[in-house]
Amino acid sequence: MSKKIYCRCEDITEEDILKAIDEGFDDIESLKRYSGFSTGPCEGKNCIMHVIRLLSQKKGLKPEDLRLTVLRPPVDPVLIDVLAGEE
Amino acid sequence: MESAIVIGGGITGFSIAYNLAKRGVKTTLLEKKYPSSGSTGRCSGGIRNQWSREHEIKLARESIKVLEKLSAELNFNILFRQGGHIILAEDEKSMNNLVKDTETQRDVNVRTEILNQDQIKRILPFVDITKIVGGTLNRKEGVCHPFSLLYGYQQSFKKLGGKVLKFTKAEKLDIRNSKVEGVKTNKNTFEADFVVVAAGAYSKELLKTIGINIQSKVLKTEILATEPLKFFIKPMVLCKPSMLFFNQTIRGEVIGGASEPSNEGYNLDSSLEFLRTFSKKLRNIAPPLRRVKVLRSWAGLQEFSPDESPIYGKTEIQNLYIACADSGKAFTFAPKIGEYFAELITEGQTSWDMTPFSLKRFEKKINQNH
Repeated sequence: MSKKIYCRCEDITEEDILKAIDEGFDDIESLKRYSGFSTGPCEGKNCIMHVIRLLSQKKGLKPEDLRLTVLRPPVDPVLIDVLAGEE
Repeated sequence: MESAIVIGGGITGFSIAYNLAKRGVKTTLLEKKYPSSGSTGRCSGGIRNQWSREHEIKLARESIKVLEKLSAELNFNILFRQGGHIILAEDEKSMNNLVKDTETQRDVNVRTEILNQDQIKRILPFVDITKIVGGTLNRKEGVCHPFSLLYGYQQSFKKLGGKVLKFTKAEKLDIRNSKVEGVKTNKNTFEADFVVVAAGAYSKELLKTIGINIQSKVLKTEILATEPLKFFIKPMVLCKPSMLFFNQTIRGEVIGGASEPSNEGYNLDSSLEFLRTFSKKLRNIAPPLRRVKVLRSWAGLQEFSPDESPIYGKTEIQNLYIACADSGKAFTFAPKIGEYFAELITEGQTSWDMTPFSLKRFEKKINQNH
């Protein structure tokens, strides 16, 4: 069977997401924490919409009925050295 | 069959709920958001035995013993890795305190090693040893993945017949004749023989409605994760007095914080100041880590009791129990405290003295002052 990759950073497939939903992790934040999608370097920018589409279908809702996960700063990865500033 | 309601879907609530279900109590857990949404899902996962007071050292020691066998018991990998905790002293005063603590720990059979600069350098080659006086290491300590531990408990709790109701907020405790009879939520009213309030920093607002005042401070604490790196940090590292800490997860991310007490309150916003403070402290102690990128940061709440030790046990209301004001220690203590609560609730007493953690200890102090 072919695999559909949902989260490229963490290698999470459609099957993984479906399994997690079936196990009861059926709100977006729990689903993120259990499956690990959206926790790689892209912080969900590539995967969140796919997951929202799938979860809304499974729950019989419209995608816009689901919220995004809480966004965690920084928007893009930043070096410790840059954050620390001049020595 | 006796029934219980546990309020709070964090690690303490789940450990208590699981242990109650294991003893045959029909248990329902209420969580106002989703399990792990509070401080458990925001913590570093550190399991520490290096405390200063005997009753805390003993409880942590017993908790570690539970964790060592828990993956097998729950049939769920809780991702507990015993890489040790190393506490680095940045000045002589901190070093003296650490050495004193190792003596208290030794008295209750907890072996913590005292390290000199050379020994530290061998374990942590990237640390600038000129900034460090010495340190201590306990090899039994480690890190447990907060979500895995919680989900492990949740899965077994459900298999034992336990019910988890998410997005169900406990709004009022039903008290009649100084006895708790149930809980009113935003959805339904539930009756139960026993009620446990284990809602972390949100416990005190609920308890206030029935006249139980918890004297505690709630502080926001921030934490961050870096990009995943090849494994290179075995122990969790804590620096005193700067309170910088960091460890590397099994996924390779470095998780760290700088525990500067911030503004009191329930605000959970991330701040740029934290990222800057943490980065400065980290670069100072571990210069090579300057080349690492920060992926994300978040905040959690820490609730400190007046003596910075948790409150566990009975209340003046019959059949109402509380576990709150953990003072940053709930994650370490939860595995054992769940067993003690189940014992206390089903048998009326415990084989272990819980009085040092009782709510009453603060009442006594007030009386003495008068």
